[in-house]
Amino acid sequence: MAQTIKIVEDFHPYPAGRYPADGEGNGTSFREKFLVPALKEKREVIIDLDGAPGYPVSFLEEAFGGLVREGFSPEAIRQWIEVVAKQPGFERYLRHIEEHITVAEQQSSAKHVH
Amino acid sequence: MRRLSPEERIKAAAHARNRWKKELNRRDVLHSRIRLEPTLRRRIAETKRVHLVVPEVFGLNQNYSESMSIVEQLKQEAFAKDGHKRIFRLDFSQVEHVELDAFLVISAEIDRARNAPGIKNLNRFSAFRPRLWRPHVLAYLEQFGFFDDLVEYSLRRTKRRKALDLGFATVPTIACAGMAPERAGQLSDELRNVAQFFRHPTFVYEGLVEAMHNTVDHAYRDKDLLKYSPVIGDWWWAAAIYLHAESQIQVVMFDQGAGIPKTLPRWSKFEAVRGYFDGWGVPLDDDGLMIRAAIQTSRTSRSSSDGRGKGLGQIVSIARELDDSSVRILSGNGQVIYRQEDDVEVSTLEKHIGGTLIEWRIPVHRNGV
Repeated sequence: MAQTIKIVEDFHPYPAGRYPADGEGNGTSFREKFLVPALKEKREVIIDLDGAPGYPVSFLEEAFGGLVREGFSPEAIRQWIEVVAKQPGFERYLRHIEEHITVAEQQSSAKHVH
Repeated sequence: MRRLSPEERIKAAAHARNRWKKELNRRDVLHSRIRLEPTLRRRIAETKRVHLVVPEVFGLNQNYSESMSIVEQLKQEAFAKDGHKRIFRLDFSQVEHVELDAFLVISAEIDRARNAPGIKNLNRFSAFRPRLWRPHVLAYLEQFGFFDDLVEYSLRRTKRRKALDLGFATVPTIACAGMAPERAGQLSDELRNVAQFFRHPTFVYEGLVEAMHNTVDHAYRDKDLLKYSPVIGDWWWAAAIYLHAESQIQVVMFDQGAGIPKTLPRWSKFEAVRGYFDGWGVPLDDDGLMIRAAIQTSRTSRSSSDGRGKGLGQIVSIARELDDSSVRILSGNGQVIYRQEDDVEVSTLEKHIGGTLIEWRIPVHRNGV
């Protein structure tokens, strides 16, 4: 059964920032603590976004786009990580996460070509 | 001239006598202090009094030039290197209207004048004859916490403004250093308390967090670009107001950094910014256009290899996603008002704002939209 991770309860009530220097609720720490282990162990996880005051772009980009930069394929990310949001107005974050993964992939393939 | 009645004459005489006694008492106290503390007379002589008369309309939207003149005068006096202590007497007696942007800028400057290295404890601020200030102006300043830490104020507060319909509700000023997302979260929560129909606090949180990110990453990094030394730490100030009549929330954030135009050349995406100027066919020296190009670059260009550089795009994203909302950025000598994708106003400011100010205006619809 997939493990559910509610960001505001299991990680930090104020997700924000990119690197540990930006505060405890940063995207790198979230990625390393929850997403990378799940992908390495090929374990299905559900990330629940509800309840947060919001998700700044730097947090989402670093958490999800950063996975691609660490070498995980977008297919694997989509296979093992499911992101859910039921709160009104939060559906835009699902779109943003998808964009970050796609852009990071394009960016890394462009880097490989050059 | 009207002849006074006997009762009025007695009253006036008693009033004059009280004033005279008070003055005698004041001198007695002063002289006894001077006797006990011989250097006091010299110190009093060395203290300079600076009278700052705030203009009738104190706002960067409606009266930028006059409002910033007062702020500039404050900074010049506070940072004067003559060794004098200064007492600033702030005179708001002519003020009819205060806007949140100007209020936040002057609050931040007072904060700096009291705490910046080199001038710490040299400057004091007091309210000059507050009984002559308009009640709604006094209440406005008080609600934002102006008299809590920044400005000394002696009028007995309980006597004031009973049942005054202010037409606004405030979230008091936050002064904070570095990344503090929890403060942004608290501010957006408090906005929901003052405006119960407010449905978009996530945009406020995200905008504030990205703005503080910009402050930490760029604003104070190069000290050579700063005219006046800042308080140690990457400080920023924020406040919010809900205006009932306009059904609008205004959130303002200000930092005293070098400003976006000056820090852009060190940005990893500066080449893209330069590309916009080449396309527009104008020289790279207009602050307003620099801010606009930075926003465009942040929004549309591919991320750099580490994914960074999207913050400015998120700061203005609310204007694209919510009808009737807008984002105004004042930085250096430039101003950009961002309403929609194709509705962007760029202008040049007569005076440098002394940092970067971002203002979000968000509608509050009672139908919950």
